Amino acid sequence: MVKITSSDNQEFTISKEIANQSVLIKNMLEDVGESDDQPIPLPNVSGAILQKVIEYATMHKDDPPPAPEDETKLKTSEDIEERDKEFMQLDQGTMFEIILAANYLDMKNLLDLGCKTVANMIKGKSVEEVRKLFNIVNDFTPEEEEQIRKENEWCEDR
Amino acid sequence: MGSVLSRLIPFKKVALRAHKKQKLNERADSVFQFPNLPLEIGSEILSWLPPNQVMQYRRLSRTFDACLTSRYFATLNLSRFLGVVDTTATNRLTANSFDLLLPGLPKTYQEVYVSLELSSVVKLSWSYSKFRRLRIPDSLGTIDTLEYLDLSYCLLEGPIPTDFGTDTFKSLRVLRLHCNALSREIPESIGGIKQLEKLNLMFNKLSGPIPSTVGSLSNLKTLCLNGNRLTSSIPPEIGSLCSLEELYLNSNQLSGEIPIELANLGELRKLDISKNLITGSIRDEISQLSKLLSLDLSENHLLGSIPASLARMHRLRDLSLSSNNLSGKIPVEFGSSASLEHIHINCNKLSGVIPKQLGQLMTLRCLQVVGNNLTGSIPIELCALPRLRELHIADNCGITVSEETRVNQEQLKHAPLSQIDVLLTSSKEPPPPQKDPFKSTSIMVHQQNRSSHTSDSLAASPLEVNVLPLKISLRSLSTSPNRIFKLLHPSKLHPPPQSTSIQLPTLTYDIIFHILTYLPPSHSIKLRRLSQMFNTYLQSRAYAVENIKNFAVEKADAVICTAVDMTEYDRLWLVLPPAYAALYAESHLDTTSIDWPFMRMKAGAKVPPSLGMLNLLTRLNLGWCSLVGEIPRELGALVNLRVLELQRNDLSGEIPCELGNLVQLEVLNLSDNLLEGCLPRELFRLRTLKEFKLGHNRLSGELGEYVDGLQGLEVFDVSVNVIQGQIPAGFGNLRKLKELRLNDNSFVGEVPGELCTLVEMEVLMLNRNRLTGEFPSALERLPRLKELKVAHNQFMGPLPPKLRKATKLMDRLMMHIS
Repeated sequence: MVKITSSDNQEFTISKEIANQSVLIKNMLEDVGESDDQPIPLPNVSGAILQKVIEYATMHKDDPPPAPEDETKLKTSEDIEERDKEFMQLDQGTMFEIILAANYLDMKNLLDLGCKTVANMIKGKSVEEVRKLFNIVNDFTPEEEEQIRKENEWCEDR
Repeated sequence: MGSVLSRLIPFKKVALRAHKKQKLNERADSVFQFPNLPLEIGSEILSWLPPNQVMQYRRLSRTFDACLTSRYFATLNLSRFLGVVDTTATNRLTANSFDLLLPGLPKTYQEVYVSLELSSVVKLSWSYSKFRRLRIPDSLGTIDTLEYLDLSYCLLEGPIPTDFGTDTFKSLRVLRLHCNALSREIPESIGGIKQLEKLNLMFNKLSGPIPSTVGSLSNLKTLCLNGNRLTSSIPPEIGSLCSLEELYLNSNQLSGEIPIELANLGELRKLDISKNLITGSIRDEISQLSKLLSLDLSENHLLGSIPASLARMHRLRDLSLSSNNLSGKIPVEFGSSASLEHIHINCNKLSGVIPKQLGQLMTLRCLQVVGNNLTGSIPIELCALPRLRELHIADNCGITVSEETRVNQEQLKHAPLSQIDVLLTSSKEPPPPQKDPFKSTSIMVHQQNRSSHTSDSLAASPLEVNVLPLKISLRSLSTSPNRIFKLLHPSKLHPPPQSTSIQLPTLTYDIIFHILTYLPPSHSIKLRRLSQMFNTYLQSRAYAVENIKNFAVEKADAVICTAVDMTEYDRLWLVLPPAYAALYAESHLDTTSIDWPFMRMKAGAKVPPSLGMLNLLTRLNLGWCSLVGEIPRELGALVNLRVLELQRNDLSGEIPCELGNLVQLEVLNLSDNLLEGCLPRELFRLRTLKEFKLGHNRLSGELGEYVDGLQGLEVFDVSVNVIQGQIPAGFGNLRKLKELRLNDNSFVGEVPGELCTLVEMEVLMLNRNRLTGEFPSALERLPRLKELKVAHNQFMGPLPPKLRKATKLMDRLMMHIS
């Protein structure tokens, strides 16, 4: 078993196969050696988020090792398992926190899942809709925005 | 990927601020919002969206713009959407769907793509591509191996980038950007493409002067800048292009004199400066161009006389000086030339007589002196010239056809000695009846001369000319020299009666119709739907006459006109009702060339039947115009037509057999349409035809044995149709045939052995038919054969020995046998 602590000092005890899904923790474990009983500090992830991440890792602990990457197959954002879709039914803030945590913990599958989910939220929406959805402030001058709009006539308004 | 990221990303700030947050549900304005994510995480997310969709989000905010225009994003995005990269290909003959996005992508993205996908490419042949954004993908300049770039006919707009050629395109030898809508100036940087041998920018909207830096392209062999809006004088630096063989500057607005430095171009074969605003005289030095084959200075403002020294240019075949202000006499020295075939000196102020020495010009095929002040009679010697086909002498101060000549001509007409096809004279005889409309012998068009003592000849106009089965009513040029419609500026129009307080239906139709004539035709035509009354009136000639008075455009020069630019009115022509279109066509009667490929036509535009009235037309190109409907049979009246190109439209129906009347036709291109039915056998009488392209249609029936008739044929293409029957052995008689494309049809039977005698053959495509029997082994011995495809047939027996070893010949021979 492996002990980890969150930024707000919550301690979690998890099995090694779950822990190893994070390349960061895996590397740390290899560095400090098996015998060390000290909990691993993860100062970038809050307890609540860590809980969700562990939930994801537990769900995927029995996944077969990833097949060697098939270069000919194009990856698409639609390519998400049903259980993962359900897992990502979250508010925006949590979602982005999980993406950041996955990036920090170096969990490629979770990072891709988060990014694909957000990408799917954007897909098909107009610029204005996306601004509203994610609370994005338009900080262009009208001239600058017009310039980009002109350059992008080919991919907008269709 | 994650591990790389975690090293890259400045997390501390985000993490520290996150630290202060304890509860998940208090995050309305938290840092955990999309805009506050680190750039790399943003890239990760957006990289899952395809490039053609994601770029619109550059407009979201500065952060997003920075993210999407970064190299990092480009790399990530391409890793998801590019798939397998084949970096070994050196030629790209069509643009793939990703290439088509290129001009719209940010430059950094383009560069990453180019470095991944195109880094070792030598030839990019992307003409006719439909790029998603119509700009030059200038990142292509970073491909150091690129030698050949063709982006012609791509509808590209905007300027050529000002740094085009600065430290880019290091190996480029051929640059083809012609037939687009590129605008603004030609950048000076273009002089930096040092290896360039061919530069083709013709038919764009380029303006400003020709940059003098062009003079530093010392390897240049071909320079085509024609059909633009270039101004100022021709830079003398062009004279230092010592390898230059072809120089086309025609159809611009170039002014000043012809720089004397051009006389240094010792390798020059073709020089065309026609249709500009060039002034000054023709200098003697121009005759130093000893290799020149063709010199065209027509339609300028040149003064002075025709230098006799031109006759010393012993290779000069075509000389055109028409439509200038040249005076003096036709040099008698021309008679001593050993090479002149076409002399066009129409519409000048030349005086004197047609020198009888021209009768020694054994090479002469065509002499045009229309619209000068020449007098005297046609020298009898001319009529004996063995090759003379055309003699145009109308509209002079009374050139007479002497009785002697006339008799001679009468005799000659029946004897095989004379082959004069076109004789434009002031003779008052009725035109001879056409016995065989397909074999033009002599077309007499009566026109009056400007002489003061020909008042009786006024009676000769307008007159009917029985040229073809069609009757064409011609009004003589001189009766209405400026009958071309006047442009009335809208402000000069009478204000249309105000109809605000009056209900339109209460007005009498007379008044309503009067109002309609003040509406621009594009508007009023829409009103046809109002009622039957409106519909009838708006299609009437009466309406057209009134409306065209108010709106049509005056043409600058009524004498010889080529329509390269298309006016708004021209566009309307293709959608207007027939009566209106016909009236408009009358303003085009002296048009000799219509070249409107790629023009944006209005929806539903058709080939107007009234085009058939323009019987001076030698060239008609309406390719790539999204035209619908049938090919009007009236086109068969265009007896002077040499080029007919209607390819890549949506034309349907059958090919009208009247096209077989186009006895001067050299190029017939109807490919990529929806044409059906059999090939009319009349087409096979076109002896002058060089290119016969009807591929990619729905043509059926058999070819039959008529193909023999196409004696001058070089290219025969009926690929991708549903043509049946055997391959006619008659192809073996077409000695000049270079390309024979019969692939993707339903041909049966054996390949005729006669094909093996066609020694000029370069391309032979027989694949995807139902051919049987043994494959003729002699085919492989055709000396010039470059491409041979025979796959997907039912051939039997062994492969001919050489073809079996085709792998060795791969460079020369693309062999496909299934």
